[in-house]
Amino acid sequence: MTFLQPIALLGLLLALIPIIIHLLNLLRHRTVPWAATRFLFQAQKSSSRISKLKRWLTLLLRVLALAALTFMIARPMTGGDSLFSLTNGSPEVLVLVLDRSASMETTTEKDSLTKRQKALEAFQSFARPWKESRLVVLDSALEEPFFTDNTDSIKDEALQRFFGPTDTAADLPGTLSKTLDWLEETKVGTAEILLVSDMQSSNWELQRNADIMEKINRILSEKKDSWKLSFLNLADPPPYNLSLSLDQVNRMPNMVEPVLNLRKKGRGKEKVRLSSQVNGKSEVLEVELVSQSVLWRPNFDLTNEPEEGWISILCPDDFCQYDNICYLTYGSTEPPQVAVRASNPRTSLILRSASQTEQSELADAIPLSGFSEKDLLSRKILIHQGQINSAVDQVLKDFVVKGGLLVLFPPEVTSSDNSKLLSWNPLEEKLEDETFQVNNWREDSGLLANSSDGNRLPLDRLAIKRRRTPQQGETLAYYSDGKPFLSSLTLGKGVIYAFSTLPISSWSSMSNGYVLVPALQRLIEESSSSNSFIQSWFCGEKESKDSNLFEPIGDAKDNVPYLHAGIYRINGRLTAVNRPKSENDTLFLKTEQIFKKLPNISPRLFDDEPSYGPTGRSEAWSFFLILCLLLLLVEALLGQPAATPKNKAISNDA
Amino acid sequence: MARSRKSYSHYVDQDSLNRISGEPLLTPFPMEGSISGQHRSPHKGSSVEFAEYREYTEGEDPKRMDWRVFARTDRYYLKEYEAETNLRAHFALDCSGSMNFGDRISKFEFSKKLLSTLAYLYVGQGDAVGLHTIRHRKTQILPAKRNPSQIQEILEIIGPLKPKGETRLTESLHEIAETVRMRAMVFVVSDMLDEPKEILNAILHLRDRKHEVVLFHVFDPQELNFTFDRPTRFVDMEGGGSLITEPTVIREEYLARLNAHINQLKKGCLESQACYHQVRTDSPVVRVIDDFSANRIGGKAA
Repeated sequence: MTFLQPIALLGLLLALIPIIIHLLNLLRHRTVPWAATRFLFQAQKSSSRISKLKRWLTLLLRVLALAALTFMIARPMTGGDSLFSLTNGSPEVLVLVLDRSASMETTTEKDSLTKRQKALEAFQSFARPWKESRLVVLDSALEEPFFTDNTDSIKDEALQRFFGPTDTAADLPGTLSKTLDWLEETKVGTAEILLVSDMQSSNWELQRNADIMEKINRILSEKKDSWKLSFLNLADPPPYNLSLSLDQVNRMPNMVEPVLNLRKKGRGKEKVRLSSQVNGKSEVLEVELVSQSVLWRPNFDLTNEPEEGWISILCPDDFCQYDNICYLTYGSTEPPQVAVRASNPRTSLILRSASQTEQSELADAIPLSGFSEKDLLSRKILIHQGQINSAVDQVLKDFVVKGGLLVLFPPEVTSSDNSKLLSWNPLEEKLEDETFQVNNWREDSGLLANSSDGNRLPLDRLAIKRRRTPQQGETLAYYSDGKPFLSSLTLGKGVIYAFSTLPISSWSSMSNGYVLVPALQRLIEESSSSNSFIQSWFCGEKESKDSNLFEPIGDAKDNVPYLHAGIYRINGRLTAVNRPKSENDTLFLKTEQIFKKLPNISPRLFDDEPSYGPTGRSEAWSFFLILCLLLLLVEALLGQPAATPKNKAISNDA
Repeated sequence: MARSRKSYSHYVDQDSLNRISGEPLLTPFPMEGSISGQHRSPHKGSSVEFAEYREYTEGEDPKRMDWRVFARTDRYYLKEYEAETNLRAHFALDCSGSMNFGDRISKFEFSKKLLSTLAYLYVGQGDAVGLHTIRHRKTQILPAKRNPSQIQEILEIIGPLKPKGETRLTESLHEIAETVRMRAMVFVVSDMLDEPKEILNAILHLRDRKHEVVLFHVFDPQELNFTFDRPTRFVDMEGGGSLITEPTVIREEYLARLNAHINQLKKGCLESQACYHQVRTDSPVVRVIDDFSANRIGGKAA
C-alpha cells in the first residue's frame, strides 16, 4: 500500500489523543466528599468485566477511528508490494519500455488495434493514477528516452516516428538495461517501469543475453523499493498469417531470380495471388502453397528494365501486415572473379572445372609460389587447397575480412604448421570396402540446399575414403559419426567454407560433380548478385542507423531506413531494406520464463483488461472513510447505556 | 455578663406551620399519654367517643350504667368511651459524617429543619416531644416534655450540632427501644447508610415496644441521580477511604445497589408497619410534611 500524501501519516500521532485524554482525565479527577460510598465500593467491585471491556473497547475504537481518518487523508493506494511502503504514491518517473519490433504490428480477430497500439493504450491506463509523475517512453527501435507531458500525446500522428510502426527487430534485454542505466544516470528516485512486448523469443534471446538479464536482476533488486517493473504480455498469435521473406537473390543476364520463403499458418493447399512491382510497374503473381513452408523462385524479366532497379513483392492482407512484403534490388551482372590455388594438380583442375562460369571459362589458377595480395585484387572467390603458411595466412585473412569468399579444402599431408584461419584434424582413412557417409545437412538454405524443384543434393551417396575434418566453424553438413563434412566461418565481411575431403578419387567420389558443382556454382551466383552499386540491409541494423544521406524510393517519403523497410537510395546506392529475419520467429516466450531470469525481484504482471485497472492500483480512501464511520458508530453504540430502568435516576416516590 | 444566645428559630419552617397549623397530626396507633389529648389511648376513658357496652359486674361504679338499656333489657350494662390522650414523639437524629453531604443544603441541615418543624407542630397540639441525637460516640437524650419551652431546648441542642464520625444508628435505635417505656412515636431522620437488615431489626425492636416508627430517609439529589461525567475521587465522609473511578462506568451498578437498598428498607417497613418516607433535600420541607401528614390530619388516622 502506498500513499499519495504520506506526510499526512504524521497525523497517526493524533490517534494517541484519546489515550492522552484518558490519562489526563484520570490525573485531573476532581475530589468529591461522598456519603454513600458503600454503594460505590460495591458497584466498583461488581462493575462487570463487560463494563471494563466496554471502556477499553471504546478507547480502542476511538484510537482506530482517528487512525483510519489519518489513513484516509493520506490517500492510500492499493496494490503495492508491501502493506505500508511509506513512499509517495506517485513515482518520479513512469517509463514505458516499448517493444516496437515489426511483430508488434499484429492484430487479432477481436479488434483491429495492433499490439503496439494496445501497448500505448495500456500505458495510458497504467499512468492514470499517477498524474504527477513524469512520463518517459523508451522504445526498442530508437532506444532513446522520449519525454511526454501526457499519455494522450503518444497517440499523436506527429509523433509516429517515435511511437509508430517499424520494421525493426528488438533487443528487449538491451533496451531494458539501457532504461535502467538512464534511470541511474539521471538519479531517478522512484520509477514504475512498464515493459510491453509480444515476447517474441528472438527479441529476448535469453541464453545469449544471460549476462544482461543478470545485470537487470541485480539493479532492480538493489532498487527494490524504488523501481518497480511490470510486464504486459501481448503474445497473442494471429489467427491466420502468410509471411514472406527473401532468402537469396540470383542475378542472371536479363533476369533476376529471388529465392522467397513463403510460410503460412494453417494446413492444406492454397493458391495465393501476390502482387509485385518491378521499378514501380505492377504485376500479379500466383503461387500454390502445398505445405506450410515453400521456397519460391519467381523469375523477373529485366529485358526492358534499366541496369539497376528494384523489385517489391507483396502478399495479400492478413492479420500480420508487417511480414507481407519484401524488397530487393538488382544491378548489372559481373562475372565473378573466381581463382583456384591448389597444391594437388588434379584437385586444381577439378575445382577450376567445377567453378566454371557461364562464359565457359575455367576459373583462374594461381600458382603456389609467389602468392601475394596482388593475386587477389579483383577476386571475389578463392578456392584453396593445400598447406597455408603464415605469409599466405595473413593474405587470405585480409581477403576474407574485406568481404571475400574463401573455400578451403584440406591439405593432403599433416603438418604442424597449422593455419590461424582454420585448423584441420589429422587424416582419417577407411579400408577399401568402407567409406565415410554424410547423412545430415542443411537442406533449406545455403550451399547444400535442395534444388528449386525440391530435389536433394546426393550427399548421402558420396563415397568418402579419406577425410580431414575442420576444427572450427559452424557445421553445415555432418558425417554419420557427427563430424563435420562442411563448415562455415564468418570473418569480417566475408565467409570461409571448409570441405573435409578432396575431389579426387583417392579421397572421395566428389569429383563426379553432383555435390561439388552445385555447391560452388551457388557460391558464385550469390557472389555475383552482390553488385557494388546495389546493397541490401536489414532494418534497424547499425549501417541503417548510421546512414544520413538517404532518399526513399516510392510513396512513403517520411520513411527512414533504420525504422521502415523499403527501397532507398542511400549514399547514392540503391538499397533494399527488409525487416530482419529474426522477426519471422514464431516462438513466443511465456512471462514466467522471463521472471525466472529475474529471481531476486517480483515483477508484476500488468493486465490491459479495462476491468483490471492499472496494476490493480486505486485510491482506497473510501474504505478508510467507511471504516472510520463504522468505528465511530460502534463507539457510539458502546457508549449508549443499556435501556433498562436500572439506569434511570431513582425518583422520589415518597 | 450574660451569654448571648443565638436564635435557631429559622429551623422551624414557617410555610409548614401555615399549611398545617390548626389541624392535628394524628397517629393510627393508640398512644399512652399522661394527660388527655387528641390521640387514641389503649385505655377506656371519658371522652365523647363511644367505645362499647359492657355487662356490669359487682363492685364497679354504677355511675356509667346505661339506664336506658336496663329499661329495655332489664340487664345492667356499662357504657364505655374511648380515652384520648397526648403522645410522646421521640426524634432520633442521625449526626454521622455522611449527613453532612449536600450541594446547596446538607442532608443534616435539611433534617434539622424537618425535625424542628415537626417538633413545633407536635408541641403545638399538646404532645410531648423528646430528642435523641445519635452521635459518633454517644447518644444525647432530651426526655419528652410537652412544655412550649421544649422547642427552644431542642433548637438549642441541634442548632450548633455538626455531623461527624461513623454512624451508630441501629445501636441507638435499640437503645431508644429499651429506654422509652411508654408507647410513643419514634421519628428516625437519617440517610440510613447502614446495613438494611440491622436497621430493620432495630425498627422491629421499636415496634415490639408498641412504638410507632416513622423513617425519614434523607437523600441529596446527587446521590439519587449520580450525574458525574468525569473521573472523580469519591472520599468517604465517615473516614472509610476513597475511590477514584469513572462515574459513567459504575453509574448503572451504583444506582442498582442504591435502589436495592431503598427497596429493602421500604419492604421491611411495610412488613413491620413502620412508615417510610424518602426525602430529597431539594424538596421544600412543607412538601415533606404535607406528604407525611396526608393521612393524619383532621380526624382519626387510618
